[in-house]
This record gives sequence, C-alpha cells and structure tokens, in this order.
Amino acid sequence: MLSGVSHKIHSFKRSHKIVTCAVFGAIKISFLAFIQLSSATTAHAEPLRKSSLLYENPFDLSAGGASLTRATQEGVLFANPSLPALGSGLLRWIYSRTSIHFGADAIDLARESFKKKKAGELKVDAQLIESVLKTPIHVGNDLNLGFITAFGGVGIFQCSRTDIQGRQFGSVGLPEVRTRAEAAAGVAAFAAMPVGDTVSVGASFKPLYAAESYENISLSDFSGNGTQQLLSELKSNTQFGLGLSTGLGATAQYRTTNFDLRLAATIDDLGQTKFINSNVSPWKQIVNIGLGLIPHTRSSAVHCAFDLRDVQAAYGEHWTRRSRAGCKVLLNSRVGFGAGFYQGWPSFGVVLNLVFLRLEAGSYTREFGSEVGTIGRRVYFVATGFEMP
Amino acid sequence: MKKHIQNFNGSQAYLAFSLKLWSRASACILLGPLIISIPVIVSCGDNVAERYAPANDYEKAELDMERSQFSQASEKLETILTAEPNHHKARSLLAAAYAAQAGITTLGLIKGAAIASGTTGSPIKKFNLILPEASSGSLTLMDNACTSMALIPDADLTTEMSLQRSLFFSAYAFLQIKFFATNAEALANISANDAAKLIQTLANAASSSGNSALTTLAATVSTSIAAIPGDDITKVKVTLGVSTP
Repeated sequence: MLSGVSHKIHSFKRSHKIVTCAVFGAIKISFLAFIQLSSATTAHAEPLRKSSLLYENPFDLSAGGASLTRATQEGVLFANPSLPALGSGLLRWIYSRTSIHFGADAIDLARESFKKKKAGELKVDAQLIESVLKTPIHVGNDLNLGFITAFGGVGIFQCSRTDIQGRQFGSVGLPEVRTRAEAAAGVAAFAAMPVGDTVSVGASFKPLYAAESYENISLSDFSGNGTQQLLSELKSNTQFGLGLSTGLGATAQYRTTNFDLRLAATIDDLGQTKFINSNVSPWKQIVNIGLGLIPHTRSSAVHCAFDLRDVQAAYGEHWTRRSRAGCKVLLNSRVGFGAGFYQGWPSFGVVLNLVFLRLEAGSYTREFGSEVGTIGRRVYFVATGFEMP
Repeated sequence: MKKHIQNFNGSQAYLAFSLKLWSRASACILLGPLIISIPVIVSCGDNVAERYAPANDYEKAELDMERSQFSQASEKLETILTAEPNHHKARSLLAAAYAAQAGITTLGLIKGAAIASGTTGSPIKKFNLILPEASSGSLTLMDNACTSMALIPDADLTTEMSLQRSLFFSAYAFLQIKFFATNAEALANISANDAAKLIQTLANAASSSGNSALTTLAATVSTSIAAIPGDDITKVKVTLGVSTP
C-alpha cells in the first residue's frame, strides 16, 4: 500500500518535473529564438509596446482588445486583476495556453507561390526574390500556465513578437531592413477582493525579464567597414533586463436579471517599471478606463466593451491608437465569437471550449506606423490549451 | 391514460430539448459568422479610426515609394518640405522619388555596379549597361534628384544619405553622357552650359564619398576628361569619340 503511494508520489514528482522542464525549456527556446532573430538596437526613450498591454489573450485581441471589463482567463492577470472577484465560485480556472501568431503577408506569398508551383508557373527570378525580400515577416508566440481563484492566482507567462520587413526605399531612399522584436517572460500573480456587491479591487505583481530590439539595417551598413560596425551594434544595443511590474484595478458592476453594466479603471506599471542593471527604457505608469455593456441569459452573454488606454497620454499617442472596442458572444461558456476594432483595425475570432481542450483562432491587425491606418500588419493566430473546471 | 400522459410529457420534454439544442446550434451557426464579419464589412478591411488620426505624410510617402507610386510620394514630400525645409530625411527621400521616376534606384545602381565590375570595357560602356534609356525628361528628374541631395548640408548628411548622394551624382553624370552618346543631334548642338554641367557633375561624383565602385568609374572619366585640351564642348565630344583633340 505504502509502496503504491510512494510510487504515485514518485510518478507525480517525475511528471511534475517533466512539465516544469518542458515549460522552462520552451521559455528558454523562445528567448534564444528571440535573441537570434533580434538585431541591433538603437536606444529608445520609450518601450516599443507603449500603452499596449504586456500580454493580451488572443481571443480578447480578436474582440478588439477591449479587455478591461472582461478579460479571458489569464488575461485578467494583465488587463484587470479585480475582475475575478466579481463572479461566483472560488476556483475559476486552472489553465494552460500556447498560441502562435503569424503575419498574413508571408502566408499570402506562400499561398500564391504554391498555386503557381502547382500550375507549373513558379519561376525563381528577380521578381520572386524581390517579393520575398519585401514581404514582412511577423511571428509571435505566447505560453501561459497557472490557476485563478476569485481572490487570487498565479501563473507563468512568456510572450514574444518579432517583425522583420525589407523596404526598397527605406526612410531616406536606400534599401533597408527594419527589425522590431520584443519579448517578456516571468511570473504573474494577483490578489482581488469584492467591496460590497457591486465593486471589486485587485492588484497584480509581475516579476519579469523583458527584452526588446529595434533597428533599421541600411544598405550602407554593409559597405566599407559597416558590417563590423553593425555587428558591434548588435552586441552592445540589444536591451534586456529584470523588473517588477505592478498594477492596480477596480471594477464597478450594476447587475439586473438580463443586463449588466461594468465600469473599470486600472493603473499599469504603478510608479514606473524600472529594470535592474539594464538599458531597457522604463515602462511608464499609465491609467486606463473601460466600459462594458452585457445583455445576458443565465448561460450566455453578449459583452460589448470600449477601452481607452493611457488616458493621460503618457506616451503621447493619439486617442485613436489607444482605443479598443469590440463584442464577445459567449454561448453556454462553450462557444464564443469575438469581433471588434483593435486601434481601429477590424479583428475577429472564435473560441471552442471542450474543457480538456480549448481552441482559439482568429485575426487582428497590429499598427506599425506612428498613427493608426498607416502600416497595418494583419496577423493570424491559433491557440490551444485547456481550461478547468 | 396515465401512461399516455407520461408519454405525452416525455415527447414534449424531448421536443423542448430538441428545440433548445437546435436554437443553440442555430444561434452558433447564424450568429457566429454574422458577428465576426461585422467589423470586416463595416470597415472593408480598412482602419475605421484613420480619419480621426493626425496625418503622417512622411510615413505615407514612404508607403507610396514601396508601392511604386513615386509621383504621389513626391507631392507629399514637397508639401512636407514647404512647411519644414530642414526635414533632411524627407529631402533625401524626395531625391529618391525623382530618381525612381527617371528609372533609377539605389538598389538598381548597386546591383548594376556589381554586374558591371565583372565585365570588361570602358567606364562609359559599363554605365550604359546599368542605366535606363536617357531622355530630356529623365535628365530633368535626375537634375532635381541631385539638387535635392545637394540641398542637404554636409554636416547633416547621414552615412545613408552620403551613399545615396554619391550614387545619384554618378548616375546623373553618366546619364548625361548616355543621352549625348545616343542622341547625335543633341550632341551636335550641345551648349556650353550643358557641357559644363556634365563635367561638373562628373567632378562632383568623383569627389563624393560613398560607393567606391561607381565613384572610381566617375573619377576615371573625370580625370581623363580634364586632361583633354580645349573648351568643355570639345572635351565632351572627344570623350564621346565624335571629335579629336
């Protein structure tokens, strides 16, 4: 009997060790991949993501990214830590999620090339090479694992995005390759409590390792001794560092039988997030507000929301860039559809929750210009994982 | 009787359950595609907030360049420069837009230089391989491109701008040579001003820092043309082989 228990404990420890190794292995691989994909960085006064969330759940992204009044699963750790205290039940979710994001441009090019190849029309000529060089490559991946209760929760996370684009005329007329990459990994924990029946408050803590890179590699970098200079920049200008990001959130809810109204306010990077022994630009403290309108039945709901991030414009972004709007339709907590406007760009997605398997897929567009509507990069995503109970 | 009632209740419950299931399935089938298509239909795939956002003509000009809409890029950049004459990046990009309209790009020149370096023949022949057809229109555009680059003060030139300036000076000089080499009437009636401009552009190209392969070719021709006795018209005609020193 005892040996059976001992064997079970040993098996559990072993499987636990395997899971832990797999998770941290994945984090390590992602970081190595990130560093390899990243290039030299010019020191920037501001982080690349500016007022955007450190991590956004893919289904929330597909619903326009308006997640302050309703975030999906692990999204609450980043969007609004006060949200879990408003629902019913103690244990909310034990979750795991892996998602990959890839730019539509590269997929379109691959699809066209495949069609041409099938028709026997594919030629490896100057035109094809030029198309390949000019097609932006956008890849990203996220990994999350943890549990969430009504009063607190903890999880590990890792997210990374890399965007590479070749431009024939660049910013001054010369060919250049623009690279932009950002990544973060760490632990996210939160505590939340209800205040009366209609209000909840929460706080989140995220010790994390962040890295980012932004560089325009011009043709002139490869002339003369430019290559050596570029390599030197590669070495010295990649920014990464360890920091602690703290957030606060509060949500007010007005409930009736078939209609809810939610108002939320959050503070991200309370008192700035600074990085130890690093040249990573501090993440500024920002205040965000959100409004949610939720007509619902006992089991299904339509959640329409609008978020305005960084209301004080700490990063100097125009309000159109700080806006998120969209709706999520959740049917019996098993099927969900989301659609919205992420910084004004259309987004959509679907989620299927089969308890042991959760599938999400959709599309959104990320803005790479200084103002919305300039350089929109359409991105597809697929995510898989589980959600219990 | 009781059994019939039970059967009836059972059928009713079954029917209600079926209807409920069907209504949910219908809801999924009908609502799902409808909801997810709304933003795409409303926006036609474009950004709905763009009209409220401040315009960034410089970034839009960059995009026009990538889409080969060079005249539109020129218009935007000229507007920017009217308001901000010291916007050197815009001036450099405007030069690239003019040159692109003349069929000359920095990428094309560098690729061409690499090909030409592997061939034998005079520098003029090598440049003839690289450059597009020369016309009075393309010469005007290249003149605009070089003037635009020359307006950027040396102190404000970045490495990229220096390279572009050097390439455009060389290309413009050899485009002029190509124009007169392929147009006998124009060469016969070449004015002193045109001849002086050609020689000066060659000298500018030879003295500019940047791409060594093209600068060396320009320097070779510039040196040999300077050694020819006589006025500028004679120098050009001798270089093009229609006259003797």
